[in-house]
Amino acid sequence: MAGFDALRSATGQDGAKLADRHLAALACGGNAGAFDVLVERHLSSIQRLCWSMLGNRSDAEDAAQETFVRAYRCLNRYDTERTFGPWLRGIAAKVCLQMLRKRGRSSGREVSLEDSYREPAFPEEEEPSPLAMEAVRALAKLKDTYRLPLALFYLEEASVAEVADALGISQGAARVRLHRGREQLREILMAERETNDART
Amino acid sequence: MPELDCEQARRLIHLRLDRELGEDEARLLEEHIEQCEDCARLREELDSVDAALRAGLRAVRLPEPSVDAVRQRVRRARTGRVVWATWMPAAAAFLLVGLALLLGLPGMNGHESAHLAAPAVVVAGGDALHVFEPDQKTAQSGRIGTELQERAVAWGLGGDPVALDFAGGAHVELNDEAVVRIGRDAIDLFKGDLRADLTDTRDAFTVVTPWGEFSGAGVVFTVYSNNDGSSSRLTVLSGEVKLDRQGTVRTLSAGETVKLQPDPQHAITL
Ligand SMILES: [Zn+2]
Repeated sequence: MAGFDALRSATGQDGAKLADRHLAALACGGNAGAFDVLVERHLSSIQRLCWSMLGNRSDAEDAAQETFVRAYRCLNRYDTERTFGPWLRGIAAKVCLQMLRKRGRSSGREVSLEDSYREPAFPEEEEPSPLAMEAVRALAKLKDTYRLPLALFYLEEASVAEVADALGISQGAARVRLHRGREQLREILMAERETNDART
Repeated sequence: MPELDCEQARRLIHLRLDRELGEDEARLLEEHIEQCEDCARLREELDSVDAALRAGLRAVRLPEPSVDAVRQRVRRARTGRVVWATWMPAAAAFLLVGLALLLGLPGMNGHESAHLAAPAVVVAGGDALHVFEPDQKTAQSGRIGTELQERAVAWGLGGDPVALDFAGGAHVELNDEAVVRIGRDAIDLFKGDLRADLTDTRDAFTVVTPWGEFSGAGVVFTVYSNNDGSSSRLTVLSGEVKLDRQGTVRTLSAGETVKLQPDPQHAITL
């Protein structure tokens, strides 16, 4: 892990032992190794979050990278009293929203993620229950308005307040979106359950 | 406490999944569900949706992300001018103040509002904003959207558009090519594009350009110029904008666009 090495040689401290907020402060002060450590710590969870919002791998990779570039650029705005993870996820949500808007504009219609979600994302040996896979597919059918808050909430065990914060909406609005989104998933999944029952 | 109806129960079922249900409410919900089959089924279904989505998203495996790719992109961003303030404030301040003097001092003929006295330099790009004080030769960092100091020069520096909020309520967005000088109730646009949203301003706000002076209150307009500044397009999106060229004033209303050649009266030497 190059990040840790660079940090250690620069600070005499082990990056692994430093809290995110301290690393962020070090990075803000010019310590490149400190930011590398933050990237190493958070990249895969951010990439997963981006995937659940965008639905395909290459966009998710791009969005995750962009998230860190932006985080780096506005590190001086990061309040070290806040937890770093939610702050970073807020940036990721904004990056994804912008990408979705751009996509919507170029295609001129509401974007359906269903096709991109078909890329196999579950390793065979750890395949979750059929209902769990259905749920992820059903999530792809929802509008951005509902998909994004649900992805944030479930993927990261975020609180309603964190979801609201990440999306720049009120807590009341976040709650309404989570509730409606969940209802829509329920309708999709229950309808599928019925057709499956009818078939067997 | 009053008993719940089914609609209230449904809300509480969701609040429970949101991890926001208080003890009293939880008890009320239990009481309702013991007596109501519909809500009992609803809760069961929503619980299974909740568990399935959590498990499904957890199980998603993506290819191992490349830490190196991120590192390279961040390194590239690091060499961008926006982060100079963080990385080498003193050197950057010298350089940029030098530029400011070169660019700023020739000034704008016959225009008072935004003249530079002792220029501070504002470098804004992405979400960051850096103010360089020539006297102190240091950089202060801040965020875009805060009230800007008077008499500052701003560059958009590539990447995202820059938004400036003025104390009087004016909101001005600049593209990454824009070079402006900032006054209290005016902005001088040397080059680049700008969108002025003056919806919330009470007093007139003025945009001074080489192609004329545009002013208004409660209006929205854009100024797009071509690369070499040889012409510009003013579009009024809402309200009425006063256009002053060569001392002649005309009013443009929403929906109108005019193409303008540089006005000798408003000549700016860069
Ligand atoms: Zn009921």
